[in-house]
Amino acid sequence: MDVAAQLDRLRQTHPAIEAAAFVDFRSGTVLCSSAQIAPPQERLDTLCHTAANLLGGPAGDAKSAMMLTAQEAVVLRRPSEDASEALCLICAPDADLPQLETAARETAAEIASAGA
Amino acid sequence: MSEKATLEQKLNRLTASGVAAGGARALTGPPETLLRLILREIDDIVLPRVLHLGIAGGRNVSCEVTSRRLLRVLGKVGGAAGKLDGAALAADDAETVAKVRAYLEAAIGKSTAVSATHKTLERNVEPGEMGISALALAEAWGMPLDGGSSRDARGVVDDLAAHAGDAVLAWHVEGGDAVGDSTLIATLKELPLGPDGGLLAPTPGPALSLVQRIDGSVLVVGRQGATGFALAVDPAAKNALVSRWRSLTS
Repeated sequence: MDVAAQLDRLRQTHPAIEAAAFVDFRSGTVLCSSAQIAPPQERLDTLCHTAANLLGGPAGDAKSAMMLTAQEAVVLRRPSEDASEALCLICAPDADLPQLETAARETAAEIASAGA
Repeated sequence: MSEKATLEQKLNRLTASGVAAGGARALTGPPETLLRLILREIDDIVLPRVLHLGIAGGRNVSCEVTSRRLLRVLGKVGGAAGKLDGAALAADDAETVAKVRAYLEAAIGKSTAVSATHKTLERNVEPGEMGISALALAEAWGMPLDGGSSRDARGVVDDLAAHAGDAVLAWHVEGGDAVGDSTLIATLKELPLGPDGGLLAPTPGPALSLVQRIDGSVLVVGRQGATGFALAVDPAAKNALVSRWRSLTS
């Protein structure tokens, strides 16, 4: 299954996910995305920026991260510790985050193993 | 929250607010704090009671309360807010909620101290008397009943630290205190906590970010009001901390 199909499946399995994207956060490139209503490009650019700041920024190298506001929850997961890519989920603010973190971890692992 | 934690919180509240001879509780603080403390008093009342509030400056108002619901406010208060005196409160709608706040604010004025006592309500509560729940008032007014002030980063950090217990290894509030392991505090102090630092969403309002680092540690960065804060926590407590944050800021 290619990454696009995995993102589609992830979003269909978890309705709280409004958009899913696979990004290269070091280069700031959106590699693939899935959403019922496509987010504007600037939103995806911001998502790349967020992933870069949280996964490889001032807090040090991280394997996963979350950003919460009253409007949304963003879940980020690297497929592997040295990857410059990240799976990014934009979710409803009241989403079940432990469940989505598990889903993100499993999907990121599948993407990593498919690419290996 | 466990019953033990709730009891401890109430005991701490008793200690913090001070209980004078005769059972009067001395509530102190700026008017907004007093408003929140009065809400907590209402939220503590289950059986039908009258909560008397003696306000510095000589004003006195009473609140009829049962099942954590405010049935009526009684007492002369100046201005339009005074029209609520004796009226049955029957709905959690925004207009009534705002009127209750206006009434209590008018009663408190600029006072910084209120003496709170309560006694049995000497009338029957009719089945149709609904009142307004303390929780509904607290939510509408943005004043968590069991946490710190919604506008106070230190209050939020205190609440998170109390809730997570030993799982909070260190914390730091911007421009304020830092507690915990000195190495972790140094790490936390290096994190950019401002809106342009990149770790928090740039949108207005409360924000929280969690980073699970490759070394296994979890760093939490937040903003409440205009103040940033950071915590280092045990990874096992991450979900509980997020849940608590949501309940404090929702």
